[in-house]
Amino acid sequence: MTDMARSSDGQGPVPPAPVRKKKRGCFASGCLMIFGALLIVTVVVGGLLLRIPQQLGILPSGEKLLQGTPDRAAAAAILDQVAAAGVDTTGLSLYVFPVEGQDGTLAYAVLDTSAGFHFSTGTDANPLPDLFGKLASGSTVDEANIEQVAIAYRDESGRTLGVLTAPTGVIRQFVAGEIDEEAFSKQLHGDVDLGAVLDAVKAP
Amino acid sequence: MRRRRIVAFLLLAALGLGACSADDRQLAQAFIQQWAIDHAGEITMHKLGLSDGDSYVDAAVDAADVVMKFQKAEDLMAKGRRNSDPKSMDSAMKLRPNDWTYELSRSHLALQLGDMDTYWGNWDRVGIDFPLGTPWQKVDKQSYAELLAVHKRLDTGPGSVTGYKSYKQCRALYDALAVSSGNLAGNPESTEAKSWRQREADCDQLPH
Repeated sequence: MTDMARSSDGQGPVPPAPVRKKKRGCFASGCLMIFGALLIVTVVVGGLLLRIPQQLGILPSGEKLLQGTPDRAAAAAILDQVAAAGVDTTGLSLYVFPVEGQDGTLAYAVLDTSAGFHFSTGTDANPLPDLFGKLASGSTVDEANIEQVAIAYRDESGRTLGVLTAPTGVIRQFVAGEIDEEAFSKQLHGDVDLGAVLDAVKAP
Repeated sequence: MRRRRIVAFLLLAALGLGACSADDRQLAQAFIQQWAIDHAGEITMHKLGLSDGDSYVDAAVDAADVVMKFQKAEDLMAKGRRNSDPKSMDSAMKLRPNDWTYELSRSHLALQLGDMDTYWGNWDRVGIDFPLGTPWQKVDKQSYAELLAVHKRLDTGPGSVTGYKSYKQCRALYDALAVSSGNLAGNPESTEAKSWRQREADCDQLPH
């Protein structure tokens, strides 16, 4: 019997059934590795976005860094100084927090437009760096050992557009004219809600 | 005619002020926008919760929730102080567990209510959470003001101790008043401190 079997009606040879090529599968072709890598990236990014490292104490969180007792008296005194410098403090809240692991404190100002905050008019300077300057000036800032100043800005709907922060020393350099606004901006750190900022800019 | 001029002036002034304020707001928003464009990498890093390497910056960027909780805690503590309400105070302390000003207020409320274990427990916590290097006078200042309020609520007059639930409560209050006033005066033998010590002796009328 040859490998050419005869057909049932005997009219000719039946061609051999084609040998099915065995597929190599996802594992062997490497797609499983790609899938695995994607899964790991997704898990890592998801974990970071869900702030799991902060909850586990692996990365620092604001809650842990700012767990100390705020200096309420210093915050009130600085607000008075800012008001005396001509800033309407309606909608402006200030908090002075000790920062875990640091000797100095953080002055954190919230400018809430939805609570009636508006920038003081009549200055040629950009109002935000100008306010940084006012918050970093005065004897109380030294007495309360304020090493860093932050400003969170909220729009008319109460959404936080962002928070910007700079060391007191840098702000004072800017106030003294040792660095210009561009250089000051470069030394600012912070975070911004990009969607909210774009909306705010689009709004008339 | 004069009235019209005044109205026109007021309108112009209002428009001018409005325009200025809006301009300033736009300038501030433009500043933030420009900063965001220049620091896109940093923003991405913060969105992922990664550390800046500078704990001041990490703290500032992540302070929004802390401030919100703090504000809530302050409201609860104010309610607790106003109404002598331990539940409100305890809720505030859950939100800000290491705030020595809360612990001090809670200890004084416990003293007022005659709950001596809670009084001493919170006093101990004040000692733990009060930052090193900070003048203790801050504690004395708040302490004395609160103790005076407790005294006002419990005192039934010199020589009388009927307002106190126990000997321990009476002694602890007058002792704390004497110590705080002495510390604030810079002299433990100050006239005020001595007068509290005299009242402390009245506590002996209570069974102990």
